[in-house]
Amino acid sequence: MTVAGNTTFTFSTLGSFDATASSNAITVTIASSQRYRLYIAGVMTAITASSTNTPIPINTFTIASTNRGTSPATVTLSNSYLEVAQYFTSTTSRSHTLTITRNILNTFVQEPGNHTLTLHIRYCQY
Amino acid sequence: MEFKKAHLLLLFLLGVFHSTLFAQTRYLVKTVAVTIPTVLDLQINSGANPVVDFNVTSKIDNGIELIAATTMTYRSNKAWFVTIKSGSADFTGGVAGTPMPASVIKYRLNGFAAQYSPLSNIDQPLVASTGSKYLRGTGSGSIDFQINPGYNYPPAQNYSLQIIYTISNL
Repeated sequence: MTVAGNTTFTFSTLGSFDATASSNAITVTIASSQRYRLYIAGVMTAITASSTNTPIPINTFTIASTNRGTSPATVTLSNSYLEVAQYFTSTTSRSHTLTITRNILNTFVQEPGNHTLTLHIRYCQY
Repeated sequence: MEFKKAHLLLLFLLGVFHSTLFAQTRYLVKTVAVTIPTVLDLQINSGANPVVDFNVTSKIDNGIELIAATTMTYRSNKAWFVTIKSGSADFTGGVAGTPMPASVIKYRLNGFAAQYSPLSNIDQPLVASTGSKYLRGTGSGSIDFQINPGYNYPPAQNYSLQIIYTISNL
């Protein structure tokens, strides 16, 4: 399993805080000898250390996968693993494009600066 | 019969063993960077240009009070405060040589029992203050005005004064 793609979100205008925007995509490529499932979980952290800082809520992000099989069309990210793709056949190279959408973030309670979302992607044969 | 049960159990265990032996799990980690710029936004939603007309004598006697004359929305992701000041010390217009000062207008934040404060061309705290800022977030508020020139200034229809609101995190 490999993963590639650009994953940076910025806010170029004030209106972008209100908009459901900024979709980034990463591609997970699978080689599997039998059927498998893909899962994803996220952890949100802020680099700025402050007692008043508030991390971006993890459910601000949604994930949609191509080649998802019977998995949900869209998954709201959480810190628990959630299934994003289920495939019933083996493959030597199947790509799953995971579109990460950052939704409305207009409460302005997050400290300006760099925030990091760590995506944990899990592949399971079954 | 007992032999058949044992046989089925063996087959089941072999099945579990087979799945355990050949099933695989892999993990990957991908980092997503989110950069949030500093936001200090102040919008006037209504009452940007209130008009005051002393069209009857009683209004000149008592002054005019405008409750919630101007409403504003604040958005900031830094600790913030808002100040108010006039664009100049005196009104423009009127009669040359007898300027009407900005202090003819008094203001207060709506919903507070505080006394009205005279307007001047020096920044005065309106919402929070530099030494006591509000935490980041969003909010809204409105401003009451009291205008009372009395009989101290010559009649004119073109008195005008700019009022400046500033949101700051300094």
